[in-house]
Amino acid sequence: MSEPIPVSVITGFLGSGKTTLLRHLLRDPDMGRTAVIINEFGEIGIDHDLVESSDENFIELTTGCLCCKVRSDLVMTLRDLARRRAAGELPAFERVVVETSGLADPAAILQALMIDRDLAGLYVLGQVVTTVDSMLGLATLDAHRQSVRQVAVADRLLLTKGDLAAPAPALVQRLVTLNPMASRFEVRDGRIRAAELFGDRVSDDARYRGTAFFRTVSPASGASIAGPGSAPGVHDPRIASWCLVRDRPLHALTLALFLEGLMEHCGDRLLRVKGIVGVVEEPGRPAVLHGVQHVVHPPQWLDRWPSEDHRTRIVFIGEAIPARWISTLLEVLDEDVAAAQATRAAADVHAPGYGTGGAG
Amino acid sequence: MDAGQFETLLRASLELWRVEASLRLCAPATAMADTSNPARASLQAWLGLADGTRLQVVEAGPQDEPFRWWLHWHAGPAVDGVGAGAILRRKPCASTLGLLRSLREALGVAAVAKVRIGGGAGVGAPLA
Repeated sequence: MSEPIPVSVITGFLGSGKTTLLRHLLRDPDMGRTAVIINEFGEIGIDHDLVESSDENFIELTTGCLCCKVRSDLVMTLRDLARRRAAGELPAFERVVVETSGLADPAAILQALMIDRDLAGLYVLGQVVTTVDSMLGLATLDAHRQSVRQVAVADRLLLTKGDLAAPAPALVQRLVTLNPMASRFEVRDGRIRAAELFGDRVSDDARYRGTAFFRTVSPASGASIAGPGSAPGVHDPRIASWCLVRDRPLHALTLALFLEGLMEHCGDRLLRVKGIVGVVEEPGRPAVLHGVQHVVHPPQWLDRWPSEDHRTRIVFIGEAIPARWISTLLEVLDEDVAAAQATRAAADVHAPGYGTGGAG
Repeated sequence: MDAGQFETLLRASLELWRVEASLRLCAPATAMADTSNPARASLQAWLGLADGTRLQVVEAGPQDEPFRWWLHWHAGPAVDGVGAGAILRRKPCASTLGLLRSLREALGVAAVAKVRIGGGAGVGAPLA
């Protein structure tokens, strides 16, 4: 089976510079062998006419809004691209980039990609790149909830139109507050190297997704700490982020229960969860978490910690979710699991051979 | 779960679910005390909604195993702000998550989508 192909998403509000960005990216030699899917809202798409493409780039166009009626179109397009690639009808592209419409909710698109079992093994989620207008971005964030959600799920935030105006400090601060884990770039006339967005090699996409932000997220980066005994932290009236830091590893069962509770009770208001978690049963092998709304991916296990920092760190981006609910739930569940395991261990001492198969 | 965690979890859950309800933590009930550890009494809380719904969350005793919590629906007005009329219905809960789920349903908060485990495009092996 060949390596899964990274699917990266370029999103951003109407007029924030997505198509200009894509037009420049497609001239970058590092963007060769890339399939591009452009999604436009409306009956007749024109963006693809504005994007010049080399023979190595394949442009598919869907109309309507990916995150609503034609979300399944994206999945079908991806399936079809993979089939044609495998059949030799298309060159072996090594990356897919999806440009969403300006009104799209990228979280819904990510969910669609994560859930569809036909895509399993064929594709891997790459980067979510969100464009933000340096001049109008702050007003857009104030006026349009969808733009806030677009910022909240980003791995890369591009402050566009830097040739027209430098981004206001208030805008930068707002972005840091909304999404401290995203890397930020100032872009002039849509020019940025593909390698900066997607990694030096195509296969770096997946690596970046898993570990890059853990090296940058810290209390000083703008993430607040919601942990046992600490303050809830920075809050946006609508969407806020928290970083839960914990010195002690969690039990594996705690992690499963915690994710279940989190996704069940927060639902769509939990835009994103990313984390690296120390697990009692797997010392030295942290688990990487990734969730979007009520969809959570099975943890990815690393062979080692990516840095000297071996603390559990989980970043949450959500809407009107009390940070203390998250931290208290985690504490309580871990205590429950520890107590159940102690009880079971005691029972095993008294009756060896019995009760060793239960979960407690 | 200690009393502080119990109160925090209930208050934060009401906030999370956007439910307007009164919450009153009761002095630990000796009648429900853990017989194997008399010093440890059970946790209790009362919740009252504007529509008159009155709920009681009670930590189960060892005699109730495998259940950890009881959720009681009460009839009638409060007595001394704590007690109430007959128990209309009782529901046992085997875990903290079970309690939260039952409480949420009892408060009439619309269910959200169940957790889905992604089976589509993975997130790759972060460190190859």
